[in-house]
Amino acid sequence: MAAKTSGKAGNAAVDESPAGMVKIYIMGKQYAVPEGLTIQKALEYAGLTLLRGCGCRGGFCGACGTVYRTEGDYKLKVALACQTVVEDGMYLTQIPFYPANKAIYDIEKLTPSLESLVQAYPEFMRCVQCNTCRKVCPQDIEVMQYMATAMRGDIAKTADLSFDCIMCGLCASRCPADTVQYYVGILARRLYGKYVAPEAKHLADRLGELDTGKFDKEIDDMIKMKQEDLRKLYDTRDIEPAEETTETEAVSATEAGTDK
Amino acid sequence: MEIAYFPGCTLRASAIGLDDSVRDTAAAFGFDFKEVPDWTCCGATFNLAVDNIMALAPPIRILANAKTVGDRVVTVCAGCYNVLKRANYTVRNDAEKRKKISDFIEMEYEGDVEVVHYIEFLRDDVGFDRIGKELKKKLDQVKVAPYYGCQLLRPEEELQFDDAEDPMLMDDLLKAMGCDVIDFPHKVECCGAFLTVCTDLEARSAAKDDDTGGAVSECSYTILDAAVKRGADFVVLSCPLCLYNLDSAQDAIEKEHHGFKKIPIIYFSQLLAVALGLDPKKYALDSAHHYVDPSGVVKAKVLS
Ligand code: FES
Repeated sequence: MAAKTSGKAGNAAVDESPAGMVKIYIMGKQYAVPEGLTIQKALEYAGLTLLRGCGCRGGFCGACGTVYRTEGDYKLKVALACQTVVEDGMYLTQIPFYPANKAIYDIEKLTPSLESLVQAYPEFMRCVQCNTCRKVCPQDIEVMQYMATAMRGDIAKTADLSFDCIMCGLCASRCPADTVQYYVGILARRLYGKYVAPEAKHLADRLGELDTGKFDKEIDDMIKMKQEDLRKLYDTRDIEPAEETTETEAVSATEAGTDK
Repeated sequence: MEIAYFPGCTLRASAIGLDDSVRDTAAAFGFDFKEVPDWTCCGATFNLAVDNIMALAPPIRILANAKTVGDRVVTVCAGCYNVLKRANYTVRNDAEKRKKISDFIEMEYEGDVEVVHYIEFLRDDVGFDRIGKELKKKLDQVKVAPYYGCQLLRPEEELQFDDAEDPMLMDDLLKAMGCDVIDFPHKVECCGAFLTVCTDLEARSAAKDDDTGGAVSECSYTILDAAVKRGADFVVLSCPLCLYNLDSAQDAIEKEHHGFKKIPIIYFSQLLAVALGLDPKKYALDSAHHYVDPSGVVKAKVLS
């Protein structure tokens, strides 16, 4: 695992968790960590420095895939470390990277078809539809379903069903047929985006406006603005008006801001 | 109660004319099929290794999903019918496997969904008499060879579709539709389709040199030639794999057997759709979906 432990936090092995603490196991070693922490924060509390396996901290990048089991249950479960709160008796392992087969292709030369998927990932037709991938998806995506639609060449449906994928790779890690569901999914989404989805007229219009320099002056003005004027401008913007915030929310929002 | 419908992968790809004609003819008779939710490939062939439990998971999951719709699932592809029906038979007769698979797929399924072929549905729910009365086109000039192949019929004990040696169900349907049905002794002969999938078309045109030693084309030839010699206009069937094989083999056959006359292969439901007066252009009865273009014969014999 691409993390090193600095061992600075006091984490002597304990049998009974002290009040407010839960007992977890990181790669087999026991730690007591405060309850309410995410798995990611708990790893850091335990003294690990996350060099890999941690990216956005917000549930979007898919870097923090975690496999775990809780004491007394045979079932292996998965989670995103940054999104899941520790539970007592969790045995944790991080899967920051999975060495799945990743094809190199030129999207310009492909067609939105089954052939393109098969060409890039011939092995994906080995899928036996055991549904194991579905069971380990931390995003609750219908992985086997989109493999099924992919195998019948339905690019649009595959793109749609796999849309929430954050590429953590846990599906592939458990696949008995060595297929690479998440890469098939992203190829389908790319094919969909390039060849199937109707072109967005408003986007082309806006790009045209940018090209003709319609907003250049406005941007230049903003670059020169003082910070408080800029903030005022932001707060009075006419799309997505700033939400009414209570004082405490405003404070925690600022804290979150400085945290980053 | 609603009726679940399992199209299967082939019907969403190469056999689109089969899928559309089944859905539309069922709708024409007032039945609203509901697609099985979250369906996957059924496995396409029933796995013959008795301990290959994994291969049973997809069809049994499909049946369990069908149960959320109703107590029957209609399907039409002979391959899917074979797999679903045999998987159901396994669930009903092998408690140990049932338990193992239920545990694995995490769904309870006791074999209580009935797997129904669309021809059986037409007989039992629509009624052959009614079909005859509702046809908009006269088919008495249409001479057809009903071809059953293997997957609809065998193993007989598990499928119970019809007599495996002398099936009459499709004959009866076609007769009810007013067709001139030939007496076709080759209706249950294997067309060799399973070897087709591992033989490429180019190799087959030099029939004797391909990896099967020309076996596929010879199987197909025997069947097709018998149909042609009895004066059939079409070979009619319900299996996409048989259709692909019998259809695509004809170039190779022509090279080997001088004087062989090509014959178009179509699905019974395509013929039914057209005879019901539905738009013939909608059901892939054309050269884009067939090696031997059926459109000419359809026009001359059915639409005229
Ligand atoms: S760190 Fe990005 S998803 Fe968890």
